[in-house]
Amino acid sequence: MPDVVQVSNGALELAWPISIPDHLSATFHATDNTVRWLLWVEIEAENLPPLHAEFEFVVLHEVV
Amino acid sequence: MSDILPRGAARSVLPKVSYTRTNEGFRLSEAFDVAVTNISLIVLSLALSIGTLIRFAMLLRDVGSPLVFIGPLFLAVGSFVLWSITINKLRIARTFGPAEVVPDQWPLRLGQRVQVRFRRSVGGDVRVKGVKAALLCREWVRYRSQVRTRKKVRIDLVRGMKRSRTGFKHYELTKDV
Repeated sequence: MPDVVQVSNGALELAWPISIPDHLSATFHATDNTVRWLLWVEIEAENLPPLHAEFEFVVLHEVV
Repeated sequence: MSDILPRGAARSVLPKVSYTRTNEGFRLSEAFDVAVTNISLIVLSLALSIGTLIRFAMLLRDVGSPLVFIGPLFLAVGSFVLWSITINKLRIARTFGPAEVVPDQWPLRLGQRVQVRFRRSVGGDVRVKGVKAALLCREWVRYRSQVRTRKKVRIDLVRGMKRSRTGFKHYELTKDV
């Protein structure tokens, strides 16, 4: 569940804690392959089809 | 030394991600431009509709077999479906403003726990029923097969996760709110 859900002043605001799994690959981009990290969000509103948004993260190889 | 180093500036292995630095942190914008998608849909819908009308007009001029109506009929159905999608997209664009995400740290690191804030302006009297989110890790690999055909393969690196409606394995971050 998100920590914060707020619909006020004509804006929807949410907050999540996200853990990047340390056994997966970091962001990488080359001619023949790419690893991308994305946050995918779907909003369901009454009388409207679902609305999707994607945001790309840059994840470095260093493990915390 | 000059023989070892490649010519020109070295390319970054990280993709170009659109973000701006603000007082509250790094603000990310959407990966896809909604306006460009909507404009493209409108142009495609118009083109298909005009094509359908022209085809019907040509048929009315010299009607032969009733089978000749099959093609224009498919065009008309396609045009209707495309317009339905376009109108829905435009309704969404009128109701919701652009979305943004603000992670409390940037860039992220493997194994790191970060707080991510999502914000989207909502116009009019609309009731939000639920919000779902997923963290996706996607890999594209481009390779040449034996017949020298270039192919693109997408490999999802997130293992052991359940498959969502979009077909991607994902981490379920939220339930409906």
